[in-house]
Amino acid sequence: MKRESGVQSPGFGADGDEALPSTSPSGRGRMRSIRVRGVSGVVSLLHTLERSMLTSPGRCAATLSYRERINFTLAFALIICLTTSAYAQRDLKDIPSPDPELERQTFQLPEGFEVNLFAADPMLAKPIQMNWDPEGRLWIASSSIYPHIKPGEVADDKVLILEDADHDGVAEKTSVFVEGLLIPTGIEPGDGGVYVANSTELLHLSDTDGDGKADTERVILSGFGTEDTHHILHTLRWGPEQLLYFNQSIYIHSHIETPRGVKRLNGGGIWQFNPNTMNLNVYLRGLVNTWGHDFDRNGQSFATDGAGGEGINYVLPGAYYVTAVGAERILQGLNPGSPKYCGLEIVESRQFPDDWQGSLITNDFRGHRVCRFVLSNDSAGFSSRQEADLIVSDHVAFRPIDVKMGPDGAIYIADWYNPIIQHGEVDFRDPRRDHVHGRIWRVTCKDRPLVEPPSLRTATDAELLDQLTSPEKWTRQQSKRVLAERGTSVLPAVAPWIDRLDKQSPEYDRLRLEAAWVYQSLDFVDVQLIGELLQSPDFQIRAAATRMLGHVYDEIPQSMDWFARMVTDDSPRVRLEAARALTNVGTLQAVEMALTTLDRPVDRYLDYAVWLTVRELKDVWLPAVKSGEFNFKGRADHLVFAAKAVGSPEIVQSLVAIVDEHPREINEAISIYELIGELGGTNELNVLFERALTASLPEVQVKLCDALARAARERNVRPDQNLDRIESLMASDEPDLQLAAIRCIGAWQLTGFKDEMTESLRNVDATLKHRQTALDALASYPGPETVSWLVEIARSDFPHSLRVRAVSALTVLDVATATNEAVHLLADWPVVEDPTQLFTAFLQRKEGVPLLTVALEGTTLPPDVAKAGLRTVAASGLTLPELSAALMKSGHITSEAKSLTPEELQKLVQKVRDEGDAHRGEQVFRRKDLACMNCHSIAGAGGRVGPDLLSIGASAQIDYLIESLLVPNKAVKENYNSLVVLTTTGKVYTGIKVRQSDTELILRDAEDRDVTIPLADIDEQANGVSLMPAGQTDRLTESELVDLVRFMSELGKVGEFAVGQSRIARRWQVLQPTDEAAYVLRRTSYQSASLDNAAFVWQPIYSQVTGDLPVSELPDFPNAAATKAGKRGVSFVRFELDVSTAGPLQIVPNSVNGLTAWIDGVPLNWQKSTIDFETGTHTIVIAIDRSQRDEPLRIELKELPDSPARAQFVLGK
Amino acid sequence: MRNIPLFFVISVAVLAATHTDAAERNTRQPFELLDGDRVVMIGGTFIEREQRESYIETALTAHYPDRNITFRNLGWSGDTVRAESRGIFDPPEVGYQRLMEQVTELKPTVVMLFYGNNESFAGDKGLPQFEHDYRKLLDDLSVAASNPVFVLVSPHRHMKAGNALPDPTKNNQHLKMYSLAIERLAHERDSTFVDMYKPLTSGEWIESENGIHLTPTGYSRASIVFCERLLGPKSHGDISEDLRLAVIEKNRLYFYRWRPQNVTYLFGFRKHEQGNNAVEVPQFDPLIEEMEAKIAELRRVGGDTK
Repeated sequence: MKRESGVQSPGFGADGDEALPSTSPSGRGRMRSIRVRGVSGVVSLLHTLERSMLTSPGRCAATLSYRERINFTLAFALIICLTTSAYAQRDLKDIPSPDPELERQTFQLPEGFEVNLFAADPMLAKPIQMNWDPEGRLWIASSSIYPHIKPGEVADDKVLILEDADHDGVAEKTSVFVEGLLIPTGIEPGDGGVYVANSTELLHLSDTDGDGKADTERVILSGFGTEDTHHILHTLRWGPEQLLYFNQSIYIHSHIETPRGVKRLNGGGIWQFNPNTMNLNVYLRGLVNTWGHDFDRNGQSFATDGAGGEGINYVLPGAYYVTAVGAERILQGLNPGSPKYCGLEIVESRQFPDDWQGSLITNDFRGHRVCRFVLSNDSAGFSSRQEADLIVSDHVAFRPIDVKMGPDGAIYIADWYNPIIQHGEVDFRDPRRDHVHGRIWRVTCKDRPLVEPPSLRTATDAELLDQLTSPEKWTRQQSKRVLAERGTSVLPAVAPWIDRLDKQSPEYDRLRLEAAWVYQSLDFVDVQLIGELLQSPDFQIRAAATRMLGHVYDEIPQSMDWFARMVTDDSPRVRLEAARALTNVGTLQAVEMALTTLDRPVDRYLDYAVWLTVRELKDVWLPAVKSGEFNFKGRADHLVFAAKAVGSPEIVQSLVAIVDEHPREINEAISIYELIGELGGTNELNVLFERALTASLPEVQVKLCDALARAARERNVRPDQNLDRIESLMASDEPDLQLAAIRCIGAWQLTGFKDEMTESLRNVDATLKHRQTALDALASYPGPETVSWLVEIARSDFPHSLRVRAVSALTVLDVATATNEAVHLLADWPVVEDPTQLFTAFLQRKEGVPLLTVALEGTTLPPDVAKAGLRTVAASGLTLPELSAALMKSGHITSEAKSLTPEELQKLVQKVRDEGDAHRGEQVFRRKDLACMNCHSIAGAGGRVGPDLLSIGASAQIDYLIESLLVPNKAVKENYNSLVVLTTTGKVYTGIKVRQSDTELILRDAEDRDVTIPLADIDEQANGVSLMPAGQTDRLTESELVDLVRFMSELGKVGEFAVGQSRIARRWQVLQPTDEAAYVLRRTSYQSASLDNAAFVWQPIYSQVTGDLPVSELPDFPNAAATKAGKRGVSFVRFELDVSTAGPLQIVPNSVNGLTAWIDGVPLNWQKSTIDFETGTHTIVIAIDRSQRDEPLRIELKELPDSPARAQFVLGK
Repeated sequence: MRNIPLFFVISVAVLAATHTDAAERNTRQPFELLDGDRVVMIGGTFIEREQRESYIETALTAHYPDRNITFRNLGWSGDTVRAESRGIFDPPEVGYQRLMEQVTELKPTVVMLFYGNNESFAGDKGLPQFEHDYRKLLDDLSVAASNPVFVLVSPHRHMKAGNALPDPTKNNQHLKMYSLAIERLAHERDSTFVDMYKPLTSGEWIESENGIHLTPTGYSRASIVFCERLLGPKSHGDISEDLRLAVIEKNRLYFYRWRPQNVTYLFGFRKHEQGNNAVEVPQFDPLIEEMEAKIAELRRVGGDTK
């Protein structure tokens, strides 16, 4: 066959790279048929929304390009975007002198420590990662090209070697080992050269002719994603067993071919790689931007997150953390409410004091600080406490990003040196971006001797093994490197070395663990040694040996006997390691054993570990359970745990069988019922229904009804055996059960109960809740009469909230009708009610927006109602210019033109510097009408919709802060873009993605609520805009705005607006002085405020940055004393404490003046210095006698040195 | 035409009814590259890493000193006939569409496909799916890219590269199975098939450190095997190092062009922040053209510019 001549396109040739976006109709058509969309999805979804907005069929908004539409939107907001060049020129005068000595003088260190310059530009530029080789040379990955190569620019980034041959603490020589790299972000010497992360590839570079320059380049792995150059492959680190670990971050998608198949990792995580066997595994999934990872002396590892907020993360092998793709459940970090940390190194060095051993050093690169954390054991996991900073500075270009202990026992800190960080929010080509400077700082302890750097390359095998006794991790690790690189020839030296060890030494097992790691690095197994370590009296050694067992079990004949022993170990950490190691074994016996670890006390980490293993081995055990060949040895609790872990409906019959076997404790029975409700089909739900009718306890009946109603609503599954019998529950004396029964009637659409429902609705004596529930049930009946009937309610003289509810329900059935009713309601809206819910109901319908837009034409709305509508639109993350315009017109709102020219902005920046008052600004920030803290937290206390502002001032320039306030959508923090989801039923959701599993997507909406959407229901999804409403600052005077910006610009900087290390209660709730609450308190005592009561309404309130809760801001209840002139009443506040390991703790107020407190309802004696806490969440309620106290309240949590207890304040909104 | 299975005839007939452009399979027997050809290469690590060495592309370029043939390498590590490596933030189906668009934009006259290695790990069970997906890929590319000539290239064998690495025996059984399937597919469409699986009569040509990917020498040898099996015996002459270096440089520039770093900000969901920097990306085009001109010059003079 011959090619048709027409196929060859004109203009084709060597220069024929037209590269226009495809406009092929067939291509477009196919794009539409795909459910989840990316870039083109945004356009497509916006098309859909905009097109349906314009009801006249002739017009087509789709002819506008996406960019035009964005521009249109911004123009609508009447805010002029500043050009890049104007933007770039601002704040140039802030660029500090690059003199390293001037920089050094800004460093404040604790007493007894000093810092010197080890190396600086021009010896090196822009260090990104550093690591030592066994010779004591410091290797640096250096990139001047970051963030992005320019056309015509040659990729000439380098690997540098710094040498301090005379050991005076100052490098005297730099050599370029290799050049011609493209943004190398990770480096680790080893295997006769150096491993380098270079864009899509992990390279190994070596110098074979000894001239000090690399002449051989091998690609070790390739296929790493490059979607963001501060997320690409980084943080290379040898583990204690000489596996190579490296990280990638949230936007990266990697596809790596190995001899065992393709390994894929979408999103962030840590890889574990054996260069000898090419075995590549995922060691951690998730986290945002993990530029720190280190191992403690027992082989446990920890990670820091350069874009997360939870401080130190304990790495549970294989676990999922925040942002992990496909995560059903995630683990949290150990220090929620932290700033972002980059780099991580664990101190093990005689150069540092004893109480520094095991400390974690990391960098708050935005706040110009080098920070220290101390770990302690907390059941199976760890707890982490922050200590005083190692370095504090106010130098805007000091950017500590990596930290390593050196051969002399000092701490070395890589200073990326840049006034500008990041390239997501700041232009790639911003001229303030530094490309030439960089420093390595060296911190020593003044009055302690330096460590003598060992000579390792020339040492004999036996001498290297002797170095494993070194207190310095640097020495042990580098010795193990040299041994591993010498290969199996060193094996004969190991056993005699172990034999020579002092068996009585407390270090005996730890040294043998080091030897076992040497063996592991050489792929050699000493069965007896591992067996002995598995029996070590030290649980940390047993845990490490158990992890090792998971790597080498197939070479140990009696490995399953060992596992059987480890799963019942006294230590929860050992049990955790056993549960995770068993996932490698992957047999039915392994699953059964992993579940056995639950038979002893379980904490969140152990529970997670078992959950993960059970899920990973689903394909092993689930078919066996279905076929009846396996039943967890009859252990109902194990079966329930496994069933919950995988959420598989295939297991539900086994659950039904089990629930009848034995009488069960109520909560266990309820959890099994709920699981059956989540997973079961018609037959299983029939069983639940019988139980609901006959169960003896009303609270169990309520749970059963709710499970049944949920199954009908969410999965469209219902029982089918004579459902009218629900009537008996409706007749119950228990109001909660009546309501639950009505909810079932609605969910099952039992029209036979229409009369009863109508009667309930009309019953003016019934509670509002009862009437609402009846209305909801009626609204769920199918058929056109429901619509006319809802219209009737909407126009009735029923309470306003019922009428609104009817219209909201109408939006689901008949949006057009709902629109007419809504406009009438809105036009005559009572001042006290909030119309947000009603607007939201329209925004959640695809056709709602265009219909409402048209219906508003010619109507007049109260201005406050129109404003509420505009706020709702802004918070939706949708771009809806027509609707906004219609709302403004109806509400007669004329927007003030807010256009900032570059000069005006510059003037404002200057004003913030000259006149801004941070204290006044904090008051503005705390104002209720601005609602800042509804979405933003400071040190974890506050809303979680937007980024934590803990150190925003230390990282963001003033111009950026102003722009972010005025044009929130201009630069959005990673992880804070909204997602717009359209469901198959035409519902629209907007929120920040919390996580997504294989079955559901969890979004956090603008109200800080987590919304779960089954993936199967999602028709389309696309990225929306920032959830921060524009115009939020409209109601501020200029001086208020100036103060607010000044406050934000001080956050995290050295001074009173930096959050300190002490652990202070910051998230509070205050009891609202409602009549109902006052009545309860009058009738009982203040103590009843410490107990749950439906009459109490608690509202969030937060401490100031200093940690003080201003008592004067609290609402109060009148008391006897308050009747006297000038005397105040009493206020009630509360906070929560999450205790992870039980024991004594201290709760210390700044003063006890006027305070009475209760813990979980039990009076707290302030005189008692410590309190014994059980594991779990505890509520501390404090009554403040305002006649005795005006001073602010401040509560500090103190852990005691000899108490095992570990606790954290509960944070969030 | 040789023996063509009945279902093929039927599918051609169906296609003819709906899509006249793709009605006739575009093939060249015997295969040759023509003046003006635009060759697009797709596949996994094998073809992605070819860019570093560019032996294959250089050999093909040098073989036709008087023909203007340009190459675009769209290899992506870990890729499969379902474009599983190309989804980025989207599912693979979107990556598959993107591949279609990218190939189409390049207006290829010849598409060389290097698939089968990654899929082969699924063994016998995965084979029917692979054949189905590969066939679909060819059909979709035919329609999207105006019926280019296809060259279907089999994966090469894995080798025993060290005691610590897995024994390749089983992988090789699977690779053979998948290679035969690709050959059948080529046969069924009358497309050109290049067997990289078969060793040379003189022995194995593969050189690899990890058993699966080729060393630079491995690529040099692969280019000989590839040319001879595609174009016939003695089709691979000596190639000039200047020419090869120019091809490598062109491929580097093109990689910056089609798979730039920071795509999240340039074209992705954060383009509203730093998308203005995307204007730089097309600025690689003139640089690529310059290199193409240099390659053409070197090709004509046999690699010696002096």
